[in-house]
Amino acid sequence: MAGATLERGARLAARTSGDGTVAYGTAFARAVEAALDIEPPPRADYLRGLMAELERLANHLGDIGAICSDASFVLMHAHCGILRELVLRAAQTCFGHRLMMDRVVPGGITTDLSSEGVTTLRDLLWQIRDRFPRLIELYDNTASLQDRTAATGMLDGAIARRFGAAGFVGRASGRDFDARRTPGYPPYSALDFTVPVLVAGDVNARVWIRIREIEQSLALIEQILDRLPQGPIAIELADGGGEGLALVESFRGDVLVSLRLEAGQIARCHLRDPSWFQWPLLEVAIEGNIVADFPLCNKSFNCSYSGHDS
Amino acid sequence: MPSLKNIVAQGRAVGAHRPWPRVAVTPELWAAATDELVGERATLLGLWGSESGHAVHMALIGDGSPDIAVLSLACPVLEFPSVGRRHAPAIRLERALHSLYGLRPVGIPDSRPWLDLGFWDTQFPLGARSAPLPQTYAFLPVEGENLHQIPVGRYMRALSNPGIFVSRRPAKRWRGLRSGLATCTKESSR
Repeated sequence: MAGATLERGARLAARTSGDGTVAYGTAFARAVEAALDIEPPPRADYLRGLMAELERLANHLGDIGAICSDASFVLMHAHCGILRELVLRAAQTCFGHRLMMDRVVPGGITTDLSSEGVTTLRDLLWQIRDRFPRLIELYDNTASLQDRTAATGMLDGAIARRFGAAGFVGRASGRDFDARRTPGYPPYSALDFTVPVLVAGDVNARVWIRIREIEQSLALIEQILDRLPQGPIAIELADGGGEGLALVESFRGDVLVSLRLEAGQIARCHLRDPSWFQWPLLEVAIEGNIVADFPLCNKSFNCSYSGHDS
Repeated sequence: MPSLKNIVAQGRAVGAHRPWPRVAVTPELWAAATDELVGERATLLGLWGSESGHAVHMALIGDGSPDIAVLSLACPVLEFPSVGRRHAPAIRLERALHSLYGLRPVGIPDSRPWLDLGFWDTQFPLGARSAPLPQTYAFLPVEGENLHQIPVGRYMRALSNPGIFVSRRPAKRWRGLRSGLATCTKESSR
């Protein structure tokens, strides 16, 4: 990263953990913009938020299905997989890449949302809202599934708080933190959403946090489509210097980026994945559980390997 | 008792850091910040090193507040008081920054390398850069009777890394595995 151009740096940051590429791209871009003391156009902020919520939807849908699959309930996995695929295809249609990689850059975004794209996304919202409630009901009413997820992989709230456990891991164990709200950043400061929090701390609670967050993401996408400002999607960057810090909420939790720029190049950059404070807690959560429940616990955490080890 | 705000006020502001302040601190203020973490009046957001002037940096957020600050401590003799000694969440970050910069967290309860497991051409690639020394990785002991290893091997499913799952387990339940899983994830990337 050191010595890289901003363009190269953004590409590297976007590959720290591919499943959170929009969040990483946004965190990197916001850190650069902070260092240069500039702001992207409002439309770029809104479309970054839109892409971040699509990313959250796709990951949460995939995770819920995969957790159920690890409890041998493959029907949920299949249905969630279909919904996840709808999200990824909509992203491809709207932004030209299923995971929306390299769409967020310092200064704004690279791909504007067309009016056809807006229609695609409204249709996506309709599809998910039509089908997802039935999946929630299926999850909630399948005793064999609840047997596996309830009271499994318990994470105590005190240790979650001490570790600053991010995302659904923390919020399922009572830690009421979401970087979109505190410290907050555009466009979320102008949007209405709630941060679901539960205290049970088991696999089931981590599933329910995802379910509630999917509902919030759908509402956020709708608000963004309703309020999307017109105007440019990026600004030109000057070759400046300075230091910037950004905290952005990925689907997995808060991503921290700290960097120093010199003459428009990256002198130093540090990226911290939420998994740094989650992997150690998985070890705590599996203690005393049967070995067969390890995949369930692991998937309910879904920590990043690449974000943590490289 | 100094709050995060007081610590920031007592540090020396480093210019052009946005949108939150970065301040250079003394070892005493570094310890006071560690107190804030231990007392759960602040949460650790990050801990990393830098090559210029050999320094470590710690990002914190005040409890229930939007106030973030970065504290920087110079390490002229390439060591610093370990935050992980008293606040476990910092341990892995300190192990990682040691692998990269060679800055030694004094008092860290687990000083095994995190990133450089002896496969790198250069030791401390972002710091002093030196020839690698031979090293062995000490796996944590697992206590208990009737222990088994579960080989998962390369057929580990999904899109995660191919891995060799080397954790040891008691016959029926996970027990005494603290940090064993970390070992798994490390092994799986090799």
